[in-house]
Amino acid sequence: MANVYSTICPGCNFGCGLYVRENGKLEVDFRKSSPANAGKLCRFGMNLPRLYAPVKSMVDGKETTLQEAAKEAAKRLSGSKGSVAFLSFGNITCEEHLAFQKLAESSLYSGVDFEALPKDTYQTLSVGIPYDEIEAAKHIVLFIDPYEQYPLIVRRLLSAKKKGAKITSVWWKDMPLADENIRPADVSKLQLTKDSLVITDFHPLSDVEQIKNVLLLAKNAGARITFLKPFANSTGVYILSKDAKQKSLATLVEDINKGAIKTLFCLESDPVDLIPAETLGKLTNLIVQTGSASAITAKAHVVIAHEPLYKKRGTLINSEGRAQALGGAGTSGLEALGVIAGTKFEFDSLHESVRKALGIAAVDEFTIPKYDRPPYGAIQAAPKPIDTKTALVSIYNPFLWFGLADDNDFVELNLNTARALKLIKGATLKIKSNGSAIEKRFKVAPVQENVLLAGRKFGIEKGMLTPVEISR
Amino acid sequence: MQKGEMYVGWSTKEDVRKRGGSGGLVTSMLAAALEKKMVDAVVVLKKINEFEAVPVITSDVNEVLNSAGSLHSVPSNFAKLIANKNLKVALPAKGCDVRGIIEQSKRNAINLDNTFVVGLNCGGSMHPVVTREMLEVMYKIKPEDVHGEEIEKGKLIFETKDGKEHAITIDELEEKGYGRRESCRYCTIKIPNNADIACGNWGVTGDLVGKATFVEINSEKGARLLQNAIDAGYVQVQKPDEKGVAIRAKIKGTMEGLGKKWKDKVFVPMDNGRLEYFRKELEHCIDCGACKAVCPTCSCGDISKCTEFHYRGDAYKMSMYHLVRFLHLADSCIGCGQCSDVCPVDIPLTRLYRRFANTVQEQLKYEPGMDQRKPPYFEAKLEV
Amino acid sequence: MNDSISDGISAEAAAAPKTDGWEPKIVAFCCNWCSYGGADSAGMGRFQQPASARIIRVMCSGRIDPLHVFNAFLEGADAVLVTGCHIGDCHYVNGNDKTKIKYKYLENVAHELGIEKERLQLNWISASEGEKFANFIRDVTEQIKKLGPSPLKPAGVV
Repeated sequence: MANVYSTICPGCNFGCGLYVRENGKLEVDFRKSSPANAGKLCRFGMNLPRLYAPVKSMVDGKETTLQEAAKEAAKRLSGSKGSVAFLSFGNITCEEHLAFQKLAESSLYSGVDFEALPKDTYQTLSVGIPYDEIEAAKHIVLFIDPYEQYPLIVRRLLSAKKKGAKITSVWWKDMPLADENIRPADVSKLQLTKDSLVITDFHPLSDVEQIKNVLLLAKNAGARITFLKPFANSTGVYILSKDAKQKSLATLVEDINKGAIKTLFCLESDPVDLIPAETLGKLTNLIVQTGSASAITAKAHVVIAHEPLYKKRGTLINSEGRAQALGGAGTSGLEALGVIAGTKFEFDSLHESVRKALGIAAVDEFTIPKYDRPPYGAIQAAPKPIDTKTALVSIYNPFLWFGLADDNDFVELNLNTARALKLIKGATLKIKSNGSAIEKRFKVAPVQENVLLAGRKFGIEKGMLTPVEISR
Repeated sequence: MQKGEMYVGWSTKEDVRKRGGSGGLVTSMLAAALEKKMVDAVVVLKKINEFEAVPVITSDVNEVLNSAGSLHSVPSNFAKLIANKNLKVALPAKGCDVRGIIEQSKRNAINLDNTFVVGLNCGGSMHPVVTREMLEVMYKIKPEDVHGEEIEKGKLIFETKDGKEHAITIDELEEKGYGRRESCRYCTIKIPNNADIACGNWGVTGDLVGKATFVEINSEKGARLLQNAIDAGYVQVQKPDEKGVAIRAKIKGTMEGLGKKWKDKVFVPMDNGRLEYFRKELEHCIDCGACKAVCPTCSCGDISKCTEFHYRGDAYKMSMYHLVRFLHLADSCIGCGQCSDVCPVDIPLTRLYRRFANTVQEQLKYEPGMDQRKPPYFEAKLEV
Repeated sequence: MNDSISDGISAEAAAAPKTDGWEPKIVAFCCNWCSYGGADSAGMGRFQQPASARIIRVMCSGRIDPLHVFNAFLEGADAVLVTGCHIGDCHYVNGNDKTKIKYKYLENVAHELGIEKERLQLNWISASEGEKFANFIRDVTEQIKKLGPSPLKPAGVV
């Protein structure tokens, strides 16, 4: 009667297993035997049906078939050879990525800034540490907000704590699970040892100098370090693109702005909130291949609509390096990529290559493949100190990455800040930045003084950290 | 056939007998109901492996016949699955499934007249992830090598593919933090007499051990269900011997006694610091709403008091969501443990809800999901 | 001060400073027909009562949802009073019977939660019982003064 798919949540790279049930509408159901999450889902996972908004293939606003849209895309891509960028953050299967890589050749934009980071840190950035090891660590240092950004790590941290681990959080806000809270500006107070395990994250908006600094801190102390990532298959994509040249989001913006890129092909990636609107407006062709509708599909000239992730066949690799099979049967993503590339991508042979790259005979979610964890050399880091009195900090959570609304239209601020501004309970806070001003509700929380934390974008942001002025 | 009668029965189909536990009677009864158009659909667990099965609603008789087998490490609850679907359906149900179904019916989300509930005796279920770990740590066997499982005489027995049996007492396992889910340990509904028919292997004696199912008919619908399966030639039954009936009653008594002991152990009265306790337990909540979505007694849907009056921007000492849930579950909680299972930050929610429910339900002498009595909260005048 | 700490009070609240002259905030839900009239006649009759009560008038005590009470506590009330007509006197026949049912739940849950019983009280007060109303408010204020601020009071709220 109803179709049930065993699938992986694309909200981040944690690798949470779940069932999606097609039953008139989409329903999520808990897959309790899933090793990464024991069937548990976060706020985003519970809202997954909203992400899978149906999308149709279109050419210049007219509905068409996947084949026709792909053909049209191929035509436009070959017509603008040399000025094409292929963008994929990593919301696709490993098999699709291999095909995509062939298509993109030297114009692959994965969004993250590997170019600015030493080559020998690539593996460390790509594959994280198994969650079991996190649970067994003696000292855990967090450079993330686990509750907001990667909620399923919380139970692992609590379990580690139960076993006696000390948890240090380096964040703008006190974390209920932390034994010690250090503000990002005071990171020099952080004491790491070889028993420490550093948890941080790596994504297109990461500040490279900060990443370098954290890598350096871990290296100097002999501590282990693991990077969490926000896209469904970030790890898989990075492993498979080990030898490819990947360009960052900032480079993409730059390339479009200077006119070097005229056509952008986005594969399961929505950069609308990440790229300035005027930059996107400079493109002659915006081609989007995706399985679900979002802000970018409304702007695209060509939309190639393959099936949503839960219906796909393929492999995803989570941030601990665990290979997981998707439960669907669809390969229309590969089909479309084949049409565009003028070839035919066979799932089986691509899957074979994926297994070979991982060194595994079969995809088994219960066994994590063995990965090299090469040490990296000396790093020069020059993290910029934050020289603003008051800052609005955007906390990138799955809702924000996917541009989905959440019940968080407020900023968090410190009680002293609220008192100093004589804010009234239930009233709003005025936030000014570069001439634009907004009024927002606020929530009193144990946040660093003069810092505003927000889990959504208000339209005045300039990156993750925006200098602002606040008043009542 | 009528209410109160007891039988011992088995499937007439050889392959169902082989695959299914205890003679495959439940499977055959469900298949017969579908075959003879008593129902339009049946809920079955589609087995993926020893530790995973996915509940599906099916109208395919073969799918029902192929679904046989009891799985202790698939702690699902079917009540929410069939709610608001307006189905004419037959389904197997543990005590907590039955209670969920009855509570949903009180809230007009399930029509009991169209729902044939085949109750399954249940001594408890286990979380699959915990079970895997337990197999490696306690039994020293690889989860992949497991071929079957059985609970017998207080022992949890795993059979490996090489035909060997590995047994450890449940007490020992639970002492080490493994074994049954916490809510199962203190559950006192072992034989679901609230279902239309109660089935299980307790009370099967002599040569029939492992090859037959003991059934007790609890309602007219249950009688129809069994009679239909007999008429269709799917099952055979005979009267149980007195010894069997006595054994069954004894097991039930022992298990319920153990459940009560666990209850006292888990719910130690707290004189002081209760508010701090609840706040501490809830402090990691990420507002995912999974505990409500999975709750088999909640029928509010997306728009409900606990969600609509809860705002993530409120800097309250305790979230309105939890307060409303505490209140609503005070009379409705059936202690099925689903909320604890799905909580992403491992809050022992069932334990928290039961703290409220134990007091209120005892005081009002109301046991949700056991009969058709309306929740006292909805009465115009309190009788107790 | 330890002797004044009844069951369930948090360490935090116990440690909270109880500055002299602290006036508790008490939210009193009053039904339009009886207890609100009671409050009125308490004023008319010039019965001495502290300024701690914030009266919220509802048409019938049966309208008072436990949610309102929770909300009052979460917003910083030190005590919440549910008041209405005497049983049998309800303007809407049996509204207060329903109050009784809801209150029974609420009381149980609040108690189990660790909210001291002094902080949540039910009383039936008729329109003519001005003195009873004034005494009730005075008694509760005294009790709460001994207990100190509510442990559910949000940070920054006095």
